Amino acid sequence: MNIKRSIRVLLVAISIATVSVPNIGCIKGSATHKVTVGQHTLREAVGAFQDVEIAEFNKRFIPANVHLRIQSTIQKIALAGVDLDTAVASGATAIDAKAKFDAIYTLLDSLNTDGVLGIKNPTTKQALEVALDGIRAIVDNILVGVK
Amino acid sequence: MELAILKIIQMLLVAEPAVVTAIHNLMTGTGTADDLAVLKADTIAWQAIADKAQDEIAKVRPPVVQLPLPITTTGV
Repeated sequence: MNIKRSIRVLLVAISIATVSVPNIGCIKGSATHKVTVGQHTLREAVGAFQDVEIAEFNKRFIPANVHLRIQSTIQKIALAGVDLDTAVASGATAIDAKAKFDAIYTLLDSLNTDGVLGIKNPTTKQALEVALDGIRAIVDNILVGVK
Repeated sequence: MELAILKIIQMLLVAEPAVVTAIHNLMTGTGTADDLAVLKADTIAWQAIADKAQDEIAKVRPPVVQLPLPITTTGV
């Protein structure tokens, strides 16, 4: 199984998981529902992206300075996730959560411009772009729902 | 790497709805202490990603070692 195929399979699995999450009482498609499901799948997707990037770095397909920038941004995204959880625990509204997702989206943009675009190996670059697009799609879906 | 992907897929296909339910309850004002505990586990998972990133950062950028100050032989 090559890396691109692995990532595509993963993204399909994330989509299936998103759709198959049981109805938990709120209206499907509502802002709360989208934030709730999105927050959960986002963490899985960011974790998967991190694992793929580390594997490619260990194969020497990503230079150390780019690896440093990518992992620094992933760290910021993860801490933004902690921030989101903290906000939810203290009774955040869907609109509050949207502001947190906006911050995460900005970090995803910088992950591309400061990290992925600097990778020379075309296969690695494409694999990470596919993974990053998958993460963006999850956040896009949430942001459309809570506007 | 394939093993990691398969593990994630397996985890997603048997995705625990507990986190989703807990977040929903908390955001709709019906959260309980149990929901907070479930969310805490999710926060720990985010923190694990941040810690893993920190480990990777440390690998390529080792911490700066403080050198001892030079010993002067002339008294002040």
